[in-house]
Amino acid sequence: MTIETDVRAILSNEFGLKAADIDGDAALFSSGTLDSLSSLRLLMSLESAFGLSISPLDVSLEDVDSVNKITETVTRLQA
Amino acid sequence: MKDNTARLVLSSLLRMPEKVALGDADIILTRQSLMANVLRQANHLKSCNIQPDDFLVVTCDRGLPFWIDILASWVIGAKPVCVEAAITDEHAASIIAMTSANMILGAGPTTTTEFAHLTRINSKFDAAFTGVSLHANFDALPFVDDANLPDMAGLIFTSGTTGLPKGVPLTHRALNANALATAQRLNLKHSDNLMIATPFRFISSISHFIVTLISDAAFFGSEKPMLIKDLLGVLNQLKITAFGGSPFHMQFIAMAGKDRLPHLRWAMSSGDHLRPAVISQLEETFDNLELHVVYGMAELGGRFCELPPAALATKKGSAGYPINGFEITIRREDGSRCDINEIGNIYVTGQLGFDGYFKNDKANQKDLSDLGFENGDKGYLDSDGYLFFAGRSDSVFKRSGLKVSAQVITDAMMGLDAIRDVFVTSEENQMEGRVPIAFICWQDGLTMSSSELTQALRPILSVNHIPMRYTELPTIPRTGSGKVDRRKLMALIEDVASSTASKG
Repeated sequence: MTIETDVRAILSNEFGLKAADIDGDAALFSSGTLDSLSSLRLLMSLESAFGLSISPLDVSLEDVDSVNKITETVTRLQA
Repeated sequence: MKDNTARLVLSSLLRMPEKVALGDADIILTRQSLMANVLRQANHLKSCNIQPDDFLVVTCDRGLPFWIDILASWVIGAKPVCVEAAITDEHAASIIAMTSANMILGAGPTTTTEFAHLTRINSKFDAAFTGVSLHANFDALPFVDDANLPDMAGLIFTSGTTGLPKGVPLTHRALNANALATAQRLNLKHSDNLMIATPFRFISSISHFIVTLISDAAFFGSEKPMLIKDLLGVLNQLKITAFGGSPFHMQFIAMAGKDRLPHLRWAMSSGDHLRPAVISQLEETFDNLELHVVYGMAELGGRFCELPPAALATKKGSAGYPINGFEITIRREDGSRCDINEIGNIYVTGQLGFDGYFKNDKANQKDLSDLGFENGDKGYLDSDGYLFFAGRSDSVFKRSGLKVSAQVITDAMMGLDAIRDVFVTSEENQMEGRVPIAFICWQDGLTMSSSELTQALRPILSVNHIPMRYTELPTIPRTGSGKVDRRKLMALIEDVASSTASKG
């Protein structure tokens, strides 16, 4: 399983998005697909799935606004 | 003399001509520029033959021009109908039917085709436009004569959690009286820069806008999607000293603390119960943060109760006591008054009380009576007259500051083939307030995984309505009248949990 696959699974399981069909660069929050209040649930899911500790104070919209950006952010935090 | 809310707000700008009036992360407007833009837009509306008492659809989600349009509409006596850009066809159609509006203000796109036949009027907004002078701009404003100023200042809508949003008429009288009474309690200073990050069409935002400007402070607002880090960045960029937000925001303000928000001296929580733990954390992470806990409702034209900073230590968890113009009574189901500390239904009366939803007899018959406006919350008054909440009368609760209806979730889930019966309720969640949870009975031979359920519900429910977890049960115990028997349900849940644990 790659990080991107897991990220897509989270978007599918937590938010009901058809994640396999989402363009990797398609905006999630700035397009209104997800509202900013959902970001907390996303961060908690990422923490749980990847064993990370993520403070909401340290993540901007730019870090999680697409599947590709979430994947990059998780990769960076794992490094 | 009638009190045009635009006159109240705009005349207050004359007191401190050099100050900033409003802004966001990209644009700052001086008081002269705000006045000049309102003057130009008011004249533009008049040139479009908009008459006093006309309804005008005004869209949000396009930043500061919204406020120019609202003030300009009020100046000429028109009645803005404030809606979100992502409005549903059903809601849009009901607005047209209710108001006969034939014009829409705001250049932004909307999601509905129901507004397609409305005449579109652009907002002539230019932050660099300053006109002649602040006073000359004010003197030239084409205020409608008092005789032609309608009582109604506009129409906003409830969240529509349990159906089509209900129209709430705002009156100039109530807006002004509420703002003046609230300003006395909130103690904003003319040196304050206040920011909100809630949709501008909410009564909370409108109240913040009016109260901030009549307090001679500067108003900043953003409707752009922002995560917490982005919000903190904007608060610091604009040197925000006062922040108005929901309890959802407050927990992160508390986490950030004085170190990350060095300019913040004042905060106001509204929209839901602020947990005592968050209040304690704010006290720990800030030195002398002036924290106001406020309870407001669209139906009541703004703020309704406020817990002043001085009472935080002794009344933590309370929503405070009423703003001038309101009275609260707590009543039992039979209408009799509750005793002190006895939980009952909250009724609101008084000079600024609610007169009724717009063209909605059914809702008015349900919520209004000789006893006042029954606002749907349960609570109690302590011996000092402070109000404490004890949940909603119906199964509506707030998740991350947004209303969620258990009934809406139930209806959606019962529409799935695999589900025979369901009971939806809520539970406390540290980050999100209350979250929905669902107890499910499957149809014989059918079942779905949690992931499949979520994916099936997502197209028909908003993200906030998706249950946090699902629990399978063999049956949902019900009384003879079909209501869920909560006592038996709890016993059954315990049985299932212990059975699962013993198997594990």
